[in-house]
Amino acid sequence: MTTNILLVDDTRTVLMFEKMMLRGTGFNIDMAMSGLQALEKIDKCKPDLILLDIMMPEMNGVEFCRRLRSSERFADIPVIIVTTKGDANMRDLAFQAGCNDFMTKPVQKTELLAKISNYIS
Amino acid sequence: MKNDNEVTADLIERFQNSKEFTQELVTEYENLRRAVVQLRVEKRQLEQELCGTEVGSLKVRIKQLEFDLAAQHDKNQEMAANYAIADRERREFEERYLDVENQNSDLVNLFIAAQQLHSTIDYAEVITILKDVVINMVGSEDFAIYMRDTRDDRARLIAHHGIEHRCMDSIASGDIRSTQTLSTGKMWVAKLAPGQREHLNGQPIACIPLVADGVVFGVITIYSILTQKDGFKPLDYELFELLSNQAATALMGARLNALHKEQEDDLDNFVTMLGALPKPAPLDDPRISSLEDLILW
Repeated sequence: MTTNILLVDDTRTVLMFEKMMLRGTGFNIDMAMSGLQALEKIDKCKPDLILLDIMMPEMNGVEFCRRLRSSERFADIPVIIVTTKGDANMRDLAFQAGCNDFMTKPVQKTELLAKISNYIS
Repeated sequence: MKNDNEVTADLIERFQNSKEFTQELVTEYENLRRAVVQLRVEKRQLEQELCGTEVGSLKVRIKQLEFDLAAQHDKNQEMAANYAIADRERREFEERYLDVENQNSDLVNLFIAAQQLHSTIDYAEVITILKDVVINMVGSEDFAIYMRDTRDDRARLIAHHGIEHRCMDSIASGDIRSTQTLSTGKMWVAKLAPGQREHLNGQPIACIPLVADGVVFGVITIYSILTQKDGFKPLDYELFELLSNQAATALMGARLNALHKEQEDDLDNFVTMLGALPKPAPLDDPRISSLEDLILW
């Protein structure tokens, strides 16, 4: 069974980079450039994991995460925050919103894969 | 009362009984002695039998087992040594694997940065991508990009991020590092102490020249790095090298493209303007015989 991962970031460069990192892992990758777009995507195809940026237009990562957790259908999807904002306040905010894990940019492949493997067997 | 004869008979009877009892005891004692002797003989025989067979074979077995144990011990030691070698090799392989993965990750970084920078010839988009690369891959949210203005040879600010409070139109007069980088074309990166993210006096921590075709036409000045970043790593230096060349050519290409478009638009406008002018008068028209006729026409 294929594992679906949704990458959410408003920067194309980051999306390309994350997609490239996960190349060859066998995951099925989908991408969204805002929280709203991500909500539309998961409604069509429920992903097994979401890599989520925080600073995004329309709907930021924290708001997206809150909405996800309040939804009965999608509340169980693991969410890993990937952001440039590594300070303690942002970390607290992200975990309060319901994210499962938190990592900062620049991203290292080994770290990213290790975090993903914690939620996908 | 008993008379003397009766007493004597009674005593004799008692002695007789005692004698019989004593004889019985002696007989029993003799029987027991014989049994003891018999048992001793049997015991000696059994001991001899055991010495000859069971104990001997057991001793041999014990020796064999001791030999096997020693051999097993040697084997165990050998296996432990092999295991230690295998474990060391596994650890080396693991480290190598991690190195390769990190190198792979670094290459992906560089590839994506270069690929994205050259994915468009739109000037504004190139600037956006360049900023994305510096923010997300280098890990800085305080930087400025200056480009040399060919008209007066001054470096002008073309983009910035997170430095609104000290944002200036051109390189600040006190910013010696950026000025030097712009004039020499040599990259400069500060040696940061552990945990240091920026210079206290607001000076840059890295200046990357933008060089295309051997000409320095700009500089990327970085003022600080992200909280989670502990100094500049080898990948950052490689990214700086890449930005120095690839960003420069991407910017130059986009700039030339914009200039080309401007010229094309000017030419189109000129052609349109020419088209709007009245057609030249046909000089062989018989109706035009004088200059006045020509003007009127």
